[in-house]
Amino acid sequence: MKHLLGVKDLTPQTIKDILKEAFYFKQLVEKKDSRLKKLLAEQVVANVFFEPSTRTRISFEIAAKKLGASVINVLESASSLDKGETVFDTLLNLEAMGVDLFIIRHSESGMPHYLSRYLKTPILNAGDGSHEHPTQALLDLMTIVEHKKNLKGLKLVIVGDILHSRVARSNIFCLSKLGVRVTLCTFPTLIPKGFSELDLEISYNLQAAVRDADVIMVLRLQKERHQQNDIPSIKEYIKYFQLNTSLKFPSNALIMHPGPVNRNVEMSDDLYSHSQSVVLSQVRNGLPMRMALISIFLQNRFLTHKGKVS
Amino acid sequence: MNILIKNIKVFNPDQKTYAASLHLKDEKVFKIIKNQKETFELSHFDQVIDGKGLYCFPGFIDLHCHLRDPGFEDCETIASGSRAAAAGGFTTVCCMPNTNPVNDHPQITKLIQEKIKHQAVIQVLPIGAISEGLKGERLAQIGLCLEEGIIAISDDGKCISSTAFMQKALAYSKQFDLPVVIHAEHPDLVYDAGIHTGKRASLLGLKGSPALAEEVIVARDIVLAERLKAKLHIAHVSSWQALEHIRRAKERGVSVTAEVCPHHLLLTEKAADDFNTYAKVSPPLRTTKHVEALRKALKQDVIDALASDHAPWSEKYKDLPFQEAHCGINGFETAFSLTYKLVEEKVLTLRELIKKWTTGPAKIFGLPKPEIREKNDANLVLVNLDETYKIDSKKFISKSKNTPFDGTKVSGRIKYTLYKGKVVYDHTTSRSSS
Repeated sequence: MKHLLGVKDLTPQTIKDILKEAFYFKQLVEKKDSRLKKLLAEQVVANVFFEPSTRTRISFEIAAKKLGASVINVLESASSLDKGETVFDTLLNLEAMGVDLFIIRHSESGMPHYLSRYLKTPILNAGDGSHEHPTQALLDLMTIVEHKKNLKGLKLVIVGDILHSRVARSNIFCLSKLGVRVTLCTFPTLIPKGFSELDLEISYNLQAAVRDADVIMVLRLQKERHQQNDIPSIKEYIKYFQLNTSLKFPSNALIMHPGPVNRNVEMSDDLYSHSQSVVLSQVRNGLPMRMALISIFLQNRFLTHKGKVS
Repeated sequence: MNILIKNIKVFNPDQKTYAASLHLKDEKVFKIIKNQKETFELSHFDQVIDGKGLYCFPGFIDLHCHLRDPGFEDCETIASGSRAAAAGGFTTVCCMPNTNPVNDHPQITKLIQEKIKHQAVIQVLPIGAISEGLKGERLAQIGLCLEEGIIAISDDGKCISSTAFMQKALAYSKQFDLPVVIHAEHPDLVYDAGIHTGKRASLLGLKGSPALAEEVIVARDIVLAERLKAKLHIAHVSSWQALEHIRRAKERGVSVTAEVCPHHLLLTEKAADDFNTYAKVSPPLRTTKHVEALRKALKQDVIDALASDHAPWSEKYKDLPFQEAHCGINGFETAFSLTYKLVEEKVLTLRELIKKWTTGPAKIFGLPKPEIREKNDANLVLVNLDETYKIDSKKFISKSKNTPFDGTKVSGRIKYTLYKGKVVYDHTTSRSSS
């Protein structure tokens, strides 16, 4: 595989290989291993973001720099540059200048797929529309694995705006492949059409859904959603789907959020720093996971085993 | 001009098939010679076509196509489009008004008619707009456009969302007895055009266009046509729910007709996986349940005709990220062979299929009955039903190559198309001549 466009196309074995590699990088980082800096020296990684993002972009930037690569940031949120043709031209030029790896975020679903048909340089999808956010799902997986021995049969509850969430989709793809049982919990208007045909549960009652959950993944609520009539008001959303301490959930359930959290909207403030919250572990794991992915796709090999990326 | 077509199977939709030789003279079928033993003085003919192993059908009629001329000549022109149509066995095609400028004014109709007169190799009948600029707000100059020869009216490509405007359009068109052709897809319900709302679109992070968007408009416009006693034709039906409304309306005697396109009979939403823009079409490719219902409705005459919805787009409009690419499938040159699959799969008889490409559409737009008989215009298509081949868009005569069917194995090769006694397509030279 040349590009990381989504989790959907990854085999369970590849996901496990990536995970192993990420834990290896985590060790090297913790040991401040001096080999890291030389791994991708002379290589150029381009962060090309057509949608504003600070955290994901910086996470990728630090990851690449820790591997010794140079990083250039191309931030084109201006609407003049968000149409496919101009995006394509921008990347073609960057490729000609010798970029070795692209990290791309765009507000349109399928943009990296389109670009991948023409670019020789590997692409890591850093989020496309409501489609996929593979690196987020993989770092979420890493975080879950650190706390839960066995993934098979675990109950994951994803709460919130699933309709517009690429994080939800990538996590559904990733965790379902590894035997996790997924429950989606939100208003009916925020469930994508046809998802009832998938092998997962849908619940409209947060308390019932989280009562026996092993992992609770809370999604960010875009504040403009109520303007599109997906919900009547933020207040009403909070009333029914805010995760807070008044709800009963198991004392060993993990509480996750891809960030940035709207405090006291999708999740109450006291839960953010709650002992069961692993929100900052997710951010922390973003670094070795992205280092691993940059290394794997830039070199088309794993360090922890002999195989190629397949 | 004298042409002899020797030993061919003459197939009229309403008659028994028979073997004969056809003598075409000038624009007409001059003589049908059923006596197989008759010998011909070949030097009397300008051209002799050996019809051995071929069927001769009346030229096909396409109620629905886009010739992109004027305005998008990089995708198709009346010249290239009419040649592509001839290659598909069509001798009459009706072109939609969503050109640039839109065919909403008698001067535009006149311009298009001029181009047709000088460039088209077959009969091309323009369809006028219902509303000015296809905006669904003000009536186009329907009467004056009719004076210039439009055959029907439609805002195809755009759906009229205002019920009040639609009511007015149907009431107004009635005086001219013009069929009103609707594109049923309520814009309020379309989030991402060209892909069916459902599991697959949702997994791609797209909201799509639901069957409901079609159903609400079909139901609404049937009610309006029933009350106003107007003539309604529903373009490219794609959902089983819409079919139920049409079926019941026909039972009540409402003047409603419907057409279906080859792609909706053969493909599902699966074709758009991996963001394949060649399968992006409006209304979208849906699920097996819809496909099955469409096939059944065609068989049971709930659907009256086949139509290609030939929608050529060059790479400039198709080779884009999914949400930016235009909707449409290039249809003329694949239409017959693709729908012949329905005969091979025993969904339709050959007779039923030919009706849906000839007498079915003719009746909807009030065209003369297509029939191979002496003194009729010699509009004919000669087909080898047994010849199998792979669809190859590179060989299209159309200026555009946008098809999701590239590489599909089909049978039923169009060998010759004749319009008014003249060969306008000859497969052996693989090009149409003007």
